[in-house]
Amino acid sequence: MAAPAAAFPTECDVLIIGGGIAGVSCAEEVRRLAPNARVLLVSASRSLVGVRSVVKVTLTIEELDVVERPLDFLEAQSEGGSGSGWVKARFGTVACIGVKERTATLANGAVVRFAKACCVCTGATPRSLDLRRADGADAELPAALRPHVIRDSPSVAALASSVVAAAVRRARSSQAPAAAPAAGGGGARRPARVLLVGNGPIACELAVALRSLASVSWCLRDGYVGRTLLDASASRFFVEEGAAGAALTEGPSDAEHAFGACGDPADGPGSVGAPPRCPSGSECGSAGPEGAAEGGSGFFANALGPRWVDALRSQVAAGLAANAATAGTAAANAAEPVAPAAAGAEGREGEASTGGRLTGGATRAARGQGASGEPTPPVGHLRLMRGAEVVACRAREGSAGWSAWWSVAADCELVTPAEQGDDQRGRPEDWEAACSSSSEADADAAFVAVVRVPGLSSAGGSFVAVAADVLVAATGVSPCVGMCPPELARGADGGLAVTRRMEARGGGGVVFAAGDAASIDWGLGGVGRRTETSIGGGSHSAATAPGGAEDCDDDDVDVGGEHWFPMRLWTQGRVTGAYAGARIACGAMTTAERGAPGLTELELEGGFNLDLFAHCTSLAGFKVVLLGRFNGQGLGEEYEEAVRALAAPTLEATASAAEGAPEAAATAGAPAAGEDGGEGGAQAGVTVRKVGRAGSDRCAVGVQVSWLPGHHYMKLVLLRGRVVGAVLVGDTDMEEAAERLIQGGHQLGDVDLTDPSVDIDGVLD
Amino acid sequence: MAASAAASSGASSGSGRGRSYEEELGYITQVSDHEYHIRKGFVPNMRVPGRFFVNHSLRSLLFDEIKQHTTSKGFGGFLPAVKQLANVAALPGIVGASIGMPDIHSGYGFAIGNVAAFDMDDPAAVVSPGGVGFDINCGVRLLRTNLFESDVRPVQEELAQRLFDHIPVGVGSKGILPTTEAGLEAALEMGLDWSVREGYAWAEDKEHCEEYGRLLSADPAKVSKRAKKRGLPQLGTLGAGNHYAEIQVVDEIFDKTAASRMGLEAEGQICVMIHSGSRGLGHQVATDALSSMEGSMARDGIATNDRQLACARIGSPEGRDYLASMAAAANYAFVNRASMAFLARQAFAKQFGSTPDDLDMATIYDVSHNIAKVEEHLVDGRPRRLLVHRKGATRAFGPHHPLIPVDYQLIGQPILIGGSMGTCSYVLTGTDKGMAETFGSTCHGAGRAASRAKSRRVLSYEGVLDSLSRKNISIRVASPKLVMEEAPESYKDVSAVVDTCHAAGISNKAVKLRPVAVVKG
Repeated sequence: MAAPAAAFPTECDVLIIGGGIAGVSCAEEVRRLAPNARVLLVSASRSLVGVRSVVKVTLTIEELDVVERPLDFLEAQSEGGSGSGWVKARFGTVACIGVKERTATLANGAVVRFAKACCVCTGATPRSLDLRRADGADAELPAALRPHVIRDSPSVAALASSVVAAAVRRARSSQAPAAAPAAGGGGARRPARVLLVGNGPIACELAVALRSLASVSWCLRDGYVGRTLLDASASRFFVEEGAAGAALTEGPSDAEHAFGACGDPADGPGSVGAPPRCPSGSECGSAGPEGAAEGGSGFFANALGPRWVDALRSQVAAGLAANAATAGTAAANAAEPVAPAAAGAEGREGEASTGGRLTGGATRAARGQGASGEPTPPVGHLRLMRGAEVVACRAREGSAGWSAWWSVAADCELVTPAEQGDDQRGRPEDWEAACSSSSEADADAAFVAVVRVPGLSSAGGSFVAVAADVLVAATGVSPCVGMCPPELARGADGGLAVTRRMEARGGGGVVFAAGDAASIDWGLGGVGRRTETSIGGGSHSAATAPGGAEDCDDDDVDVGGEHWFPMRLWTQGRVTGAYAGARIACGAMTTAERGAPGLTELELEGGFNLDLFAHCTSLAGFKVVLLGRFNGQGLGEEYEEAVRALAAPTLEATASAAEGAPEAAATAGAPAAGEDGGEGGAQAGVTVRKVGRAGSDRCAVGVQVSWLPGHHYMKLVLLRGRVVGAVLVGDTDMEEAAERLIQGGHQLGDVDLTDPSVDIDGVLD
Repeated sequence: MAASAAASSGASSGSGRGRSYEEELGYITQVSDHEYHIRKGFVPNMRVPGRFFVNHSLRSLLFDEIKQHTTSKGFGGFLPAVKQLANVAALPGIVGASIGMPDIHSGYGFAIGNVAAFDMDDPAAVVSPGGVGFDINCGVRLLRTNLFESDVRPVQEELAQRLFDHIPVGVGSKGILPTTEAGLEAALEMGLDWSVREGYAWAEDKEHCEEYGRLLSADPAKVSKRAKKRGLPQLGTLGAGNHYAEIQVVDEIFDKTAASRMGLEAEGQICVMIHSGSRGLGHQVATDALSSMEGSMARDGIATNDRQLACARIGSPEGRDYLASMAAAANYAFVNRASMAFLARQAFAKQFGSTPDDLDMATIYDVSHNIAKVEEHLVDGRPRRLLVHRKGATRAFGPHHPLIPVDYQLIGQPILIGGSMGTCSYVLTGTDKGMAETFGSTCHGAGRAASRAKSRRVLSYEGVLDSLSRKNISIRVASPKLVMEEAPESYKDVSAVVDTCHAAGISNKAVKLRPVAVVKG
């Protein structure tokens, strides 16, 4: 597998840093177009990410099957190919890049020279929490407050062992008569308490993975779950139609199956005793109108193996089982059959069998099938704290005392400067008060966190103490480009700013970047393009650029259409990686060096979809397709208003029972108000398609929504009567039509596009 | 110039707001068993009347649409086809009548199945991309063979599979013929001449193509980069949806002379029908033109009843650019069908261990049913140069027309009418009456009767397959949902459509074909 150090090449034509999906796609594309090129891929992990299969849902929508592969896979794959070149992947860490020298220095001091180009595909690392001593003192952060972040298999393993250790500790301490009563549950079942911070895909996956194994408090700043990919309106579909959202907040395991997680035991009666209630009352802890989680394969950080969630679950379950052998505490959980390899397949099967899956008995039945053994009561539960933010924490010190307070800095990516004011985040005395008024601050916990939850009356909200054993931060990722010299310009999100040719700005046409490491500002037709160019002065002359390509001189390149924008997803890692590879092969090499004719600009651009944002994944067992400006990207406040109008509970319901047909939905209301909503009524026993429409011809932005319980949800975003984006959940069969509408820019503001009796494809012939 | 009609939205425009169904019917008169006229006033600003051909069995589909529309509140489906027909009659420069074919159904702006001619000598006359359709030069090609049903039946499944393997089908399929940017540019300019040059087509194929497979007005420079980017990987692909390649057998010969001229000698003879168009390239050309014309309409003071009816004066830069790019897209479609014919010939040659030549796989004809062309027609007894838009309608020139091949001079132009999966297809011939009544045009196919979504809901996969198998039809489909969407039940009865045209005299039935094997996207 891992090559011996002696076999590490010191010379290559193209150096690719990173073995994630972008790096591998880049290597494969260079190899394809330039059979004479010597390609070296340096991976900081001993495996590569690869795409096993691509299913074309439509022209632009692709369903990827992402797998982990051994390091020598690329080499084996390219064997026997034409040309004098080679592809090698080696384990190593690049410490710095010399742009002018065309060298990369590895952490072990070795130097690799690249003759033509280097592509930075190093992905992104998860951000942690910024903890500082509240009194300003310089001290070491107590171990209990060091947040776990999920970035790779070792970090998954570390989290798993922390969860197990905490459970074991709690099980032991519960046997002591002095055990605190707070967590309840008669001592026999005392799962680890996990405080999870963040609302990204990873947080959603973690919440789902741990909820039956630990007691999870999930703290997210937003008003609804899944902020990255969903809006409040889409979230509602999952809450109302599936047990998903409700289950997340109410009790154990209710929505496990719905999230595509594997082999869950059905929830048994009288599981853990009463789960701790959120002291702030109704605002958190109870199921609000919003809330859903993301799950299924498809949302992983770059460096994580595709099945990391399953790995985490099996590790925790195995750990608990091992320790339960003596204590007899969590034996039931250990029996849980967790088969990582089977998990993905099962999720897909669930997807194929549609209909009624998320409703009542059907769900339970489906869950029962998931477990091979006797259903066992789970120990964990999940409590959702929406709109909440961790402001401070302190760790237990010794047997009785607490450490000093550590304040948690606001995530500047998520809040405006005005929100960062100290008065919002409270002072130690506020935090103390929260602790003393809470029954949670038991001496048993490894740490106590103070969470600010939005108040019902007071603007500042109120503080709530949460006692926990394990702290996990999943607050998003930052591009991992530390090895790049300062002359390579950074984009607004900290990644390497790249031109439309994927050349890193300041890299003289030699350094390229792709995937999560790249910062693309030319999406949405270049609307959001900024002109921050901190390109290092004249010392790096353009003479080093083989193609003579000047930074930013990319106006002739026609990629990044008005309905495309960058997002850190598998699908985009793949396309930007491959596109960078094509640019390298065609731009940085001559025909002789390639050993193959090049591509014209049109041929090159035509090979990659950078014109229409398209992503396909699964969520709560539903197929989810995101197209174009699916969340109103670049449409501003008007879009937000349109969605709010839809999500408002005052959605006017006007009954219209038209012959009992499921699609008999009517829109009504007051079009002049720029909003109307309707509900197709029908007799009992007939499913009802709900439709909503906000905005009208007179408004620039409109939204059409339709959902059929347990079947589908679709949302179309319109700009001046033209479809510019779509969210399609479940069996909508609208993928092709939506794609055509976005690409075609048809004037359709008055047509109910969500009405299944309207034959969009037929009309557009 | 009726600039008074404010451009307004599709559903609420020109609908005679508030009229009852009975009042709407007052504008429509039946003039014969197969023909109806729409009086001016049905929608505002009509310059000419509307006409449409339907027989009794097809009539209700159209009238039900109107009825439903009178009860809607301006938000819902597309405009009824008859309303769209009338809105086109309000466009500047239209001549004669806005004509609907029996297979007419709602489209984008123009109904699919609408023929409209505009006076080239009227400076105000317009060209409209909606009148051509998005799949520019979507059309049908028919190849004959010297094989008979008895030759094919024993190897039917094998042959169907071979055809499926040869022809790139389905969304995202890429062409297998090597194409480069240079090749694409040449194909756009030269059409079928490019295919002949590259060895994908026979020289004699040209003679049996509309326009000899090449629109000379094509200018690849007017095709946008985006359109070319979409078109490059798709050259030589069949596409998805209603496009198909079918192995068919001659089921019935109505006109022995005509059939014989086409090389169809007897019932049981095997043919290959290919239905395909200009793929993403054509769509992008139409999209680009619609968006540029929306700008020029304001400049030139053109008002229409429906915002979807974007158009430009024929002589304006936008109008000329569209016609040049449309012609290039049409050439792309000719090349596409020729490529598919090449692949079908290869598949047959391999299957029967022969050559396409020895199998006599000649092109009977290649027609376009989404196109606009400059033609000469007699209007009120005087010859006029007209820009004839045919959207979901086929050119049907009568006997002795100078633009049809020598060997068809006596019988009239062959017209190829593709049925839906599992139903019959037809070969018709053009008539003098068609020249006089419909600018030499007739129907193009069955036309949808049920939406795709409804078909998926109402029909079962197994049910459709069972019924095909009972008819002994092999099927290969890349996307399973097409089985329901394209099922015969989803379409109007193609025989009723063809019979209407025959009875109205705008074309003659010559040959009926039934499918043996279907290959679809």
